Amino acid sequence: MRECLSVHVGQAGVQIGAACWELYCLEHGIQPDGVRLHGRKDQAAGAETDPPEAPLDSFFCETSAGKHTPRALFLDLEPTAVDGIRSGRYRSLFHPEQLVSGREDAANNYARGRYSVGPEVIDLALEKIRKLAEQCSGLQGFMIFRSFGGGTGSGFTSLLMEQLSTEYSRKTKLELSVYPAPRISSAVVEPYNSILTTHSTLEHADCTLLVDNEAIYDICHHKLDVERPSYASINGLISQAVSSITASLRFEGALNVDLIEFQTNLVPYPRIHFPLTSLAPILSADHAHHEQPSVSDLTAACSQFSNQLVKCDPRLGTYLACCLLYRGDVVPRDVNAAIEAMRTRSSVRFVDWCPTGFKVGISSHPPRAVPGGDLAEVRRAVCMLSNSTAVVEAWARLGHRFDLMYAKRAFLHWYIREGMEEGEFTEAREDLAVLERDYEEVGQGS
Amino acid sequence: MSIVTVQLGQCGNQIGFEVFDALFSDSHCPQKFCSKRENEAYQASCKERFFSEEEDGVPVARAVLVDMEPKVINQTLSKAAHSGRWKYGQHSHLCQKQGSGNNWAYGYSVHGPRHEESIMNLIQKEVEKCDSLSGFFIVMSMAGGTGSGLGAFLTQNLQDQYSNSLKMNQIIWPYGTGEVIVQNYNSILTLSHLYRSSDALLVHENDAVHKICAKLMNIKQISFRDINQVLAHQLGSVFQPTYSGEGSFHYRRNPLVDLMEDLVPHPEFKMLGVRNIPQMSENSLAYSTFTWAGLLKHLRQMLISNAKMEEGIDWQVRPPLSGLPTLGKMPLSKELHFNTSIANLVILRGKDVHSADLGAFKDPALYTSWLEPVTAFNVWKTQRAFSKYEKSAALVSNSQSLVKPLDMIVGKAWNMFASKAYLHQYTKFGIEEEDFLDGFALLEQVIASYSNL
Repeated sequence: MRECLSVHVGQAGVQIGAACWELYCLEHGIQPDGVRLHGRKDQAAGAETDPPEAPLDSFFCETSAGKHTPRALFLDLEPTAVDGIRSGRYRSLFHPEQLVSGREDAANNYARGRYSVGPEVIDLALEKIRKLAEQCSGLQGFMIFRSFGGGTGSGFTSLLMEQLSTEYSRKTKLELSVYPAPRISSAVVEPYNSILTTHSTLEHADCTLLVDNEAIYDICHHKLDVERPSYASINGLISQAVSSITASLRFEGALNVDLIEFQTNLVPYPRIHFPLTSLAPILSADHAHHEQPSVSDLTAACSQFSNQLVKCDPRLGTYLACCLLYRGDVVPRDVNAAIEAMRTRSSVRFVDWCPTGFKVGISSHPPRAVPGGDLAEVRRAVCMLSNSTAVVEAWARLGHRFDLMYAKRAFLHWYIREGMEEGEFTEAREDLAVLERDYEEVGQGS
Repeated sequence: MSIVTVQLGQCGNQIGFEVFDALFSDSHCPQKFCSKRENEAYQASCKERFFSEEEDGVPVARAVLVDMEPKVINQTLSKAAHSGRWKYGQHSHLCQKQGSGNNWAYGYSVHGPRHEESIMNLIQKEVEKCDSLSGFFIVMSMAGGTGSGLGAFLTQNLQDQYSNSLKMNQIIWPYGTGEVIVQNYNSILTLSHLYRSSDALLVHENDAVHKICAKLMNIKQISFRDINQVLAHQLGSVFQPTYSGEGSFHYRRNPLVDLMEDLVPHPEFKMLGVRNIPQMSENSLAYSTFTWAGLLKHLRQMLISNAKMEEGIDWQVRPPLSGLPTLGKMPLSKELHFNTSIANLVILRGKDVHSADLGAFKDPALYTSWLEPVTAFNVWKTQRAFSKYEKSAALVSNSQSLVKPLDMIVGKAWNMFASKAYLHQYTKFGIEEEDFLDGFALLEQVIASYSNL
């Protein structure tokens, strides 16, 4: 029951997916070939792995051969990223049919992902999703991992989301999107792709968690003392956030939060569905022995700008809603105290019309650190998802860059020749402008 | 009751071998989901149907192998003997040196009468070995010379001599792009003759099976061996034993009679197709789980959208709403052609088979107006799983799915006929233009009857 399908689109989605599933396997004691270890004592952390009754049904499907196959689909329009998984450490974990790759990629072009190359793969993708959905007895919804800036991540995901909405209209769709960083960019046409995809996916996604590379680079550099953070470190952090979000579905806890509860509590209006993610504690392995943060420390750290996975200063906006997901050695009394402390702090401002702005989830299973990764193993951790009007800054930034390029009609011909029209660009930009105004209106209160 | 298989021609012999191999492997496959006693009953039933016992304990397939050239038969016999698990009877084969030259007329008018007596003797001997005969299963292709021509002749003979037994012909539809230039002529003549003398025609299209190999089994270089194995898998899942009734635990005694009864209500409609789900490569099998609901949903959509495999199904096709004219009455060129069935038989094998819900198949919109779903739809079940698949379902259906390929073949043959190409090869051996015209007329009639369901 309460199964959740993960769909990983494009290179970013696939690589984040690889990190996430690696972490899930570690947490559940599943070996790289899909077979589960039962109650073996883990020497490294001195903690026992899960008792066999822990419900991993929601993310893994058990086959008659004793394998636990992830309920996931990896999609890309070119084979390199998916081949990395096919030849990587976890190659025997995934069903061969779940790793779908095309031959010709979207070349960082939304139009190719959406209109020319994407439609060739969409039917196959939907078939696979249908098959996965049939194996579920109570599908809650989908978690979609993608980036905004790429061609597949933007274009193909828009196409996919539209189709999923028609076919699975009552299921939640939660996105984890890699937003283009303010000062670092990996593609010149990022603003185009991002705005086009945000416009087309806006009505189909129920909740979109934003992360950006620059914020995570800074975290890795300053807090984890990693000199040269690679994508592996970044994906490791993102996977910790994702793991905390889904922990309630996979483990028992005092206060469970499932996917639909997120939506209900975080999204006051259908278009206002872009919460910011932050994690605490972010400690490197050396510091862990000196520090074991308490619940109040964790909560305070969460609301700081430096722990956020997106470069948006929450101090400049007001909070609409906030979801705190604790895991590990946490009791509700500490949580209440911590929230009180947070509420009284002047830097944390809530809108007038939402006095009880907190949703709390507690899972008893502590976080696991990937061996060889940068993070330390701690006894408790928290992930905060906050719907704040500060995210307007992110959209404004993106819109500004879009405007600069569009004014000169730069790079537009690449989109036009794949069948798009200028009208779509203006429409998308207007939609974003309206979104910004919506956020401002909401933030002002009654 | 036993089934005697007659393997004709290169195609028939190669497929026949794979079928027996699949049947044998399945019956000796280690089972996890049913009791030992049940497994033994299954094995005994399978053996009785397809194999007979000989002194040295190696089961002998109940088959007669016929070909007009020696190469394939020798290969088949030696492959079976080498496997050590089962074999063909030492004297159950007939082969000649010359071959039939891909010529239907040669197979029918020359080889037929010439070898009639010897072949019927061989069949007689096989029949005598059976305690009770259920019927004949004749494996042949339509495109070649022996399988098609000799097969047609033989079926007619069996009709005369064993009029009480049933005959089911397994026909292989050639690739649309063509394997043999005169395949269309051979096909027309075969089909028209068989329609008169056979009881049911179970058709497998090479194109469809090829796609299954490519897409589902992920085989890169597809050989005829792969195609034959997929085919054998499909046939095996139809012919292996199943319970004889709802709630019963005894295995069905007479499969051919039951098949005909369930699927061929009217002699005008004899063409049957098989669809099997799931079908995948060995590697994928370890990662997969199945639910009856999912399998049956796909199977039903495969039926109504006329898809032959579980990928690439057109989910847009829906049964017509009652009160509106059925889409089936529209011309064949219409894209969203809904596949109306006359009768369907679903065969379920595997774990928890009694919990499977088949309500979707009993929808009257799927069937033609002159047959109630109660009569038109049947289910056979067994708890014992087939081969390595924990749950598998096969659908044998008498439906409009073969109308389009048949129409294409008739069209192509007519084009050739209109220009009188290659006709002399046939008239040389006594097949006149009238025979061709008769054949065309009969098949046009069949197409018309099916289209007007």
